[in-house]
Amino acid sequence: MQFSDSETQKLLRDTTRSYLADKFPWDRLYALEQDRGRLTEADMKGFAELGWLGLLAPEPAGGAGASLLEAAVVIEEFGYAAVPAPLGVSNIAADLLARADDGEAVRDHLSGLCAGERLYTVGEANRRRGRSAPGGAAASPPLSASGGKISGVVPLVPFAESAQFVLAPLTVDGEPAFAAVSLAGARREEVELLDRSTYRNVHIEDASLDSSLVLARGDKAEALHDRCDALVTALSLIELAGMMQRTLEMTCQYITNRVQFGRPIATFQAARHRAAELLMRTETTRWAAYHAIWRFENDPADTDEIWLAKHWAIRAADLVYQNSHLLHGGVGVGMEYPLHLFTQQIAGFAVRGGAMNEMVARTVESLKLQVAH
Amino acid sequence: MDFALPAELETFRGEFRRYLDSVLTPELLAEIRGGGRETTGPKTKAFWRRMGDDGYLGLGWPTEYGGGGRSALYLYLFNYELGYRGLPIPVVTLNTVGPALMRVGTEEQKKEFLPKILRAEIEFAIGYTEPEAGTDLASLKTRAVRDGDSYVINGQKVFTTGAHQADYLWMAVRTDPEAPKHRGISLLIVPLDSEGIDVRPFYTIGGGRTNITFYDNVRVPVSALVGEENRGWYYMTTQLDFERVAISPVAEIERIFDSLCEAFREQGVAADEEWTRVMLASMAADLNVLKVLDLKTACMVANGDVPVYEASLLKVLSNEIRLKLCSDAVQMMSSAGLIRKGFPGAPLDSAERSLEGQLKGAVVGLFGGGSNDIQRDIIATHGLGLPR
Repeated sequence: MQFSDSETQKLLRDTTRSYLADKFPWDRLYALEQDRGRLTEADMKGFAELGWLGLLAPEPAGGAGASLLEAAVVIEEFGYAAVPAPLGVSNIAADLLARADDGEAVRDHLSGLCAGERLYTVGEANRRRGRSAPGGAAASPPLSASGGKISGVVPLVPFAESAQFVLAPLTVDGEPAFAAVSLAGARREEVELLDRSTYRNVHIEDASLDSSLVLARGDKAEALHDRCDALVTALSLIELAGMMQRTLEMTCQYITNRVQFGRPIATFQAARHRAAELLMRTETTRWAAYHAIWRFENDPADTDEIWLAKHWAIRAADLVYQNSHLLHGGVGVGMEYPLHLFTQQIAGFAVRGGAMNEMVARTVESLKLQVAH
Repeated sequence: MDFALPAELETFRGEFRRYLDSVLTPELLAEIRGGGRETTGPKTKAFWRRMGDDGYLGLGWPTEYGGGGRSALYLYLFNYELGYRGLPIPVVTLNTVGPALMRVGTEEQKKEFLPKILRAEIEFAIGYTEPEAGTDLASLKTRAVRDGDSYVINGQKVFTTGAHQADYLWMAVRTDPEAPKHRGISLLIVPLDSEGIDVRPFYTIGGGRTNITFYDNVRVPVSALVGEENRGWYYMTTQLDFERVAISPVAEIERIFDSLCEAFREQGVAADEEWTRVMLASMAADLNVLKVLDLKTACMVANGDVPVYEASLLKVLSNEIRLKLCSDAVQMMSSAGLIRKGFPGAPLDSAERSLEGQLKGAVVGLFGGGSNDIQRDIIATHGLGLPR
C-alpha cells in the first residue's frame, strides 16, 4: 500500500503539469473562457501525440493501455491547470468502445480516437439515475432507432461542437442499446453553462443508424451504461480534486502576500482556520476519489465508494468555493484574476458527473436501508 | 412582546404593492431584466424619478429635507418589496451620500445636492476602497493636497462601482499623512467629469461591472470638502439609523426560494430525490430565521435602539445562507441548474435571474460591506463583550 504516486504516475503527473503550464498560461485560459472553451486543432493534436486522448484504449488499437489510476493522474492535472479539455470524455469513450461486441469496427473507431482524428464525447445528462434533462422527458425525446433510422435528443453534450460521435444509451427496435452515435448532420443547439463552457443539446432526426456503432444491446448495454455513469462520476471527481488543490495553493499564496492592518492576513486566526479547512476538504476529496477509482478498477461492480466520494466532494466543493472567495475578497471575483477560472469550474464540477440526489439515492440503496412495505 | 405589524404599515404595504403594479410596465421590466447591461437604462431612471416625484425615494428621509419622515419599518417594507421583485434603486446615493450630507454637509451642499438626489436627477459613486486598503480601509493612500482654493488629488481606487455612469464621486482621501491613519482622512465630492480621472472597467464573475479609477492631479475646489477636514473616517463609520435597514438580501433569498418551490410544484419531486425534500425544508427553516431577524433589526431601529452586533449577525447569516441556498438549488436541478440565462432550459426565478448567476454573485456578499470574518469579530466584541 502506498498513498503516493508510483514512478509511472509521477512521470505522468510531471509531464502533464509542465506541458499544460507551458501551453496554457493565464492569458490563454482567459481567451479560452471568452471563446467558451474552444480548443484549437493544434491543442488537440498535441494531446493526441502525447497519447492523452486514448490513455484507456488498448495498445494494439493505438492507445496507451494505461490503468484507470494512471488516466486519473493526467485528468487531475487538467483540473489543476483549469484547462477545459475533452480528456475525460475521450478516455471514457475509449474504455467503453474497447468493450464493444463488434471487434472489427471498434478497432477503426479506437485508432481514430487515439490519433485525434475524431473526437468522441459523452452526454452529461443521460445518466441512468437522477434528474436527467432540462425541461423533462417531453422536451427531450430520448434517442431511439427503428427501421435503420435514429432520432431523438442527447441533452447537454460537452465538446459537441467539434465531436464526431457521442456515446449514449438508446433503444434499437425497442431494445435497450448503447452506441457511439454519429453527430454528422445533427443539429447542435448551444447551451452555455456557469463556467462559460458551451455544451450542446444534440438533436438527431432520421439519421441512418449505419453511421453509428451499436456497442451493445440488452443487459450488456445497460451494464455499459452503468459503467459509463461510474466513469463519468469518477473521472470528473478527480478533475475536481485537481481544481480544489490549485485553489487551495492560490489562496494560501494570496493570504501570505496580502497585508492588511500591517501584517499578512495569513497571520489572522480566522483566515488560518479557513485555509486549514480548505486543506482538510481538498486532501480528503482527492484520496477518497483515488481510492474509489482503485476499487472500481479492481472490481467493476464495486462502485459504492465512487458515490460516497462524490457526496463528500460536493460538500467539500461548496466550502472551497466559499472560503477561497472569502479569503481573496474583491480581487478574487475579477475576471482578470485567475481564481474564478477554478472556482467557476469547481461550482460546475460539483454538479457534473452526478448531483447530490443521485449520490444520496445510490448510497441509501447500497446501505440497504430501504424497508420493504 | 408584540409581533403584529401595525395596521397603518399593512395599509402602506398594500398601497406600495399596488403602486408598483401600476408603474412597472412590461417595457421597464424588460429593460431591468435584460441582463448584461453596464449602465442604468433610461426607463429605469424614469422609474426612479417617478418614485421620487411620488414621495417613495425619500420615504425615510426627514421631512425638513423633503423626505417622508417615516419610520424604519416603512423603509423595511419598501426595501423588501423592491428586493423581492428584483428592482434596483440608487442605493448608495440615497442611503449613504444623502444622510451624510444631511448630517455634516454645508448649507450650499445640502441645497445643491439633496433635492436632486431625491428626484433621482444625480447619482453618486463611492470611492473608498484601494488596492492596498480593503478590509483595512483606514490605511487608504490616495492623497488630496490643499493648493490655494483647491484640493489636488492623486491616487487609485478600486471597486468604484457606478463611476462610469455616475455624476459625482463620494471620495475618501488622505489629507494628513502625518496623523494616525484614522485621523488623516477627509471626504470630498468630486465631479466625475473632472480632468485627470480615468475610469476603467473591472468585470466580475457575477456578470456585473465595477471599476478601477485613477486620479492624476485632479483639481476640485475646497467647497468639495464634506464636513471638517480629517474627520472623514468618523463620517464614514457612523450611520444614521435608517441606513442600517437599507441593505438586506433577505427579500431576494425569499424570491429565489419561492421560485424554486414553484418549479418543484410544477414538475414534482421524484421519489429518488429525497435530498431535494430535505433541503427544501432546511431552506424554509433558514429563510424563516432570516425573516424574523430582518424584522427584528428594523424594529430595533424603529424603536430607537441601535443594532450593532445584530446588524452584523444579519449580514453574516443572510449572505452565507444565500450562497448555500443557491448552491443547493443548483444541485437539485442537476446539470440543468448550470445553464446560463438566455440558453434553453435555464432555470430562472420570478425576477428572471438565473440560478447559476445568483450562485456566482452570492460570493460577493461574503466580503462586500465588510468581510464576514470581521463581522464575527464585531459579534464577539459587541454581542458577547469578549475581550479583544
